[in-house]
Amino acid sequence: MGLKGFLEAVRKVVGSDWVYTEPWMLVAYERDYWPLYVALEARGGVSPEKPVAAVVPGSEEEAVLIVEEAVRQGVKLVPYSGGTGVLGGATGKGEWVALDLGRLNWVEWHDPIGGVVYVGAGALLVEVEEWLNERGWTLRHVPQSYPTAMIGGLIATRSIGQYSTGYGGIEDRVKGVRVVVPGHGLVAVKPAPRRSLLIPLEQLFTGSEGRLGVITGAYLEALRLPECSKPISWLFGSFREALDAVRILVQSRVAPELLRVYDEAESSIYFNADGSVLLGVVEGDCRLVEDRIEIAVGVLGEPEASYAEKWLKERFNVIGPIREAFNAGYAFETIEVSATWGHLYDVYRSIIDSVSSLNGVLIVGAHAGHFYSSGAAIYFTFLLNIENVEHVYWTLWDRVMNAASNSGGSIGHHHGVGRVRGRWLDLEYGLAGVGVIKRIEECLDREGVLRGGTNG
Amino acid sequence: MSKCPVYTTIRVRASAPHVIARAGLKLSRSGDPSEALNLYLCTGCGSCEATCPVNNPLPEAIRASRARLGKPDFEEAKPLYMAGRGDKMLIVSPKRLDESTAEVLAGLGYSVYWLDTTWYTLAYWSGLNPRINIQSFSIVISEDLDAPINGASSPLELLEKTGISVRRRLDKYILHLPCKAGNIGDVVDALGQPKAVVRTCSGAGGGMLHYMEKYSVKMASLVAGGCTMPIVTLCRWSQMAFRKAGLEAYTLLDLVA
Repeated sequence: MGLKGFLEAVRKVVGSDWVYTEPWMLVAYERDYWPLYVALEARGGVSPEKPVAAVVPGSEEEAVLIVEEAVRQGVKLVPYSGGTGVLGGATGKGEWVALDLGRLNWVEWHDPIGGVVYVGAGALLVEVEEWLNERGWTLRHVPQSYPTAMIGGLIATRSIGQYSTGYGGIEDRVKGVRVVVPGHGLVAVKPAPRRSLLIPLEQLFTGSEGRLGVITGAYLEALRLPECSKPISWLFGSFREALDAVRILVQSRVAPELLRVYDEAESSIYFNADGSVLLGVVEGDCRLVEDRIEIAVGVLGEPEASYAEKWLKERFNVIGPIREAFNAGYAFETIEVSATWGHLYDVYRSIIDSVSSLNGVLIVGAHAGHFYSSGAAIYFTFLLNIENVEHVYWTLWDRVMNAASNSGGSIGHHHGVGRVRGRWLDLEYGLAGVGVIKRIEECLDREGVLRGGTNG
Repeated sequence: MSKCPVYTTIRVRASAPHVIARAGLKLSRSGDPSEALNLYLCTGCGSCEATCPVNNPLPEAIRASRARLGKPDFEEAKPLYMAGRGDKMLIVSPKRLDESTAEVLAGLGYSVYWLDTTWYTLAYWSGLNPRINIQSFSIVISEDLDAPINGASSPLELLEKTGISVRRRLDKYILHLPCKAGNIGDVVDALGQPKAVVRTCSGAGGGMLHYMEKYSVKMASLVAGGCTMPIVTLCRWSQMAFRKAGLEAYTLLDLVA
């Protein structure tokens, strides 16, 4: 029983080459991009908790056998795909085994006429996108983690990308899913454009962060590559003014597919602009793109400067600003929330006000990057004094979560829960709602095989 | 990550460029090599840097980190294929000195002379450097077939001037171009047109063949795509990896007398 028995058994399933216990192999799984761990590492003296082993299945069948063995032996598993999450969700605590999905990396058509592609959880987003582009299709799912994100993790965290205003989030791409559920084996949900059959299982697992089952594959709805794609930008006098203008475009259903609005602070830092930068990319049939730009200009005024082009060129440069922050003695954190339009600006101001008096925290600024008819998401960046980052970190989160909820907003838009947000989940769902989530987890995974990491 | 030939072939997470870079950073902080041996899973091909949205100089950072590893005592040094300890080795390369490669070779017992042909060419033509007599070296590994040494316009011309000619011809062969090597003119002149030219990473560089042999051999075995034709490569390390993978492989220097 236990870890030894588990490792002996899975070596027979995947082969010894695909069971890692060496320190230099396990370092690859000890953290994701959780800023707190990044900061503690940079400051020195703290190492994240490595798994005791990592197992790499080469097929869905092997993944099923591994999960079954984990149930039998009482071993905690944490699924690991791209490792690009920012809340520690891909890591565990105590004695845990990383289940590396990287070899489940197939990409093939399920239905080339409907644009439904069947992908493995370990396929890199870039690999899938390039495969589709060669065939005239796209997922248009471009988070900042695009260069190294994997499909399994994107679905598990209900991720969203920069083109979401036009194309939606990952949940809009998922039309079917394949998940290994402890004690239940492989749950294979066929792709369908829509279904109404009791519980929508493909959506149940989308965003479940590896706590209900191990995603091994998915059926994603791709989109035709747009004929034209045009960047455009504006400068507004204030963040509030820009948000009000954008709401009109969004609710009229003519907003750019990619749309971002920066508050005054971030506009100054990233664009050296005095005011609020609004940038976008309009895509589609070339004739319609021109018409929509004309409509946008009618609502927002004449476009200015080339903020959109500058941003498109630098959007994946995360390392540069992080390095600058560390060199100046600061760690960083980003927190995203959302609200309906009627509460949006109040949520923004409440968060700024709640944090402004917090010692050891500097607010960099915020931007809104995902828009809906009913509202939008706002993404805050903070700098924390690295010397006492542990204390300040949790106080910061507490203030932001409470400020967001108390002013009518939602406490989390697309980063998930990981090892951070669970302690405030009742603000969003109430105690009854949190109880329902816990009950679902306990029903699906009685032995708690998949709850070795996140705090839910 | 998607462009790293090592990761995309062997699918070992520890070989992803950013994971290797992090191992190097940890090594610089802790000095503990046990968590950084995946530094030998980078062949230095440069694909990550070329496709990085911000052109992060990862290969250079990884090389610098790898130099810190020195000679780990967990494994005995193995002799180079076809050569023995104490031999004088000349490495002819358009790249500047790769310290980690030179250190590995010195660790295997070779007396290594690295000829940076870009610098050498300029210095020689301006009279600052004497000629180098390549005959005095036991083994010459050349990555630069354009290198004008001893007044010859190319190493092949030099070899012909000293009475060396192609002693073995191949009916058909695949030409493997290792990373950063582009010129195939001399090879084609000597051996005839290859049936195919492949640029796939052989998995041999950066110490990978020596310290991570099974992964290196796996990559080498896939280069020819299942074809059984002999492979002619411009890189001695690649040649060794191909042979370990059971393929018939030569460098140009193997085929001349």
